[in-house]
Amino acid sequence: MGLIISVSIFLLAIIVNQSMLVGQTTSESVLDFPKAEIQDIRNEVFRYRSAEVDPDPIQADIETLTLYRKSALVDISNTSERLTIHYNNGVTYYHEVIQI
Amino acid sequence: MTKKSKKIHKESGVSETIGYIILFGIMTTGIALVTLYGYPVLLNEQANANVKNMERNMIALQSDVKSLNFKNVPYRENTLQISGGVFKVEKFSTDTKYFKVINETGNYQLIPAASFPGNEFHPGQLLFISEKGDILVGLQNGAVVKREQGGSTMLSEPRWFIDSSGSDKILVLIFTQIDSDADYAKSGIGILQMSSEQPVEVSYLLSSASPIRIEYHDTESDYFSAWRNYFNTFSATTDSTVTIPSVKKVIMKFYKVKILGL
Amino acid sequence: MVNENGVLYTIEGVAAGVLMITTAYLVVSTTVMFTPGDSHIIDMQLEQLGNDVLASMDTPIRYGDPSPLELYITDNDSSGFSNHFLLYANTAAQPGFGRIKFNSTVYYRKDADVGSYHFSDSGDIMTGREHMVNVNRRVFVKDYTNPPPPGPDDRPQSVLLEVTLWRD
Repeated sequence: MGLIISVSIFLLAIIVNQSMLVGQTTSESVLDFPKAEIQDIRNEVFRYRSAEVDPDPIQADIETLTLYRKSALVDISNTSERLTIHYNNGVTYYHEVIQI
Repeated sequence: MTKKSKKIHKESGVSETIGYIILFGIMTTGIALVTLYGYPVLLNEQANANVKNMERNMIALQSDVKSLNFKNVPYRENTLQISGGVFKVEKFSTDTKYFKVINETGNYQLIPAASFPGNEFHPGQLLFISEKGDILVGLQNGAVVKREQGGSTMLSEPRWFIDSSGSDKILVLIFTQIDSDADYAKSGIGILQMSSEQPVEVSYLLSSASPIRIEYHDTESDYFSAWRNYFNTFSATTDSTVTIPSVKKVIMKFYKVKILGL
Repeated sequence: MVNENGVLYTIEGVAAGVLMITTAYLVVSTTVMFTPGDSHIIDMQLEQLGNDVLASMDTPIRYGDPSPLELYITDNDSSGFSNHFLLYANTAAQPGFGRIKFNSTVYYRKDADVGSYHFSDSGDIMTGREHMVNVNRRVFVKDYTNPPPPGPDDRPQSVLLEVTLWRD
């Protein structure tokens, strides 16, 4: 009995020690990752494309507002056959080319 | 069973007292050994654990500062357990720790003098000074830096980056300044209250791609090597200055985090 | 009749027990700490919730229609937005947690500048000391019929809706 208790205390002590590792916690990493941002920008791009309006001022809107409020670089470019979405906030880098 | 054991048990030569003394002696020696060698080790571990705990706290605080800066949350607070040292708020002042950003073509200072006198950006810091004396852990300009025995490392980096996906190279520098109304210092459990203020945003579209020099000035070589090593991720350097070649656009944002209480 | 057969074992047991408890105490007191990291779990959940609510509000009911969110911003209908947002946000709220409150601002680009106006809130006084998170959604506005002065330009554009939310 004593042996079991001491061994388990020892193991628990090791587990406690392991948890001391310095770094970001999972929730901080989740907060850091701009999942919603990227989904939002993609969604917005498809939305204004389907509305068939002049895309240039809207792209400037998205780029300016994202830099101003979120400190992230966005670059959206259109050609007749492809659409490029580029997002970079220094930690996460996202680049998508959509063939139309 | 009982019959058999009764037969074997012959205790005429056994002294309980001697057995007791032997056991007691072993135990006492064990306790003495643990006290002599084990306890200092444990105390040392505790001091290390305190520093580790504070590093952890600083990274959590960095996460809060990121929320204030990049997610535009107006106010944050975080509970800190500070043991084995003192946590203090060093608000920005005209001290010896500052940054400069210079366009090498024509030697233009890029940090606006209107907001930052002398074109110098003084970040201030949230600082933990360990009881052991030689260990400092600081949250400075959005980075977590640690100084130990004359050397320093960066535990978590600020959000500076170069974007060269397009035809032009864009350099984005995010600065964070610590401000407060009072000089706070604390040991024990404290609640750090922070609020964000309107950032200053500056962006330069250079007429031609130019080398940009970033300088970090520091005395006592506090966080000298931490920043030098970080600058090396942009371009090779041997001191705390780095020159990033052919930058077309520079975007700088200067955030201010105000400490309301501790 | 009292004999001393068990005495030695008892002393041993007590001593071993004391030694073990002391060891355990030392180990625990050395390494125990207060982790502030777990405070971010609440933020993470609230942020996910806010983003999901805005995303579902920005989904058109029928393909080709404007989304409800677009209509609220187009008409500057702050009470409609408030009701809709609170309905969605508090549907998933669990008992024991406070109700969700919010305050929102719209940011828009006007030439090279960025302007903003207050859009909608839940009618609560914000002391500035709440445990807040901020979520945002880019909303495509095709036709600004009723922009609040000094408002955005009258053109199809993308505005940034920022919602600060907290629990009471």
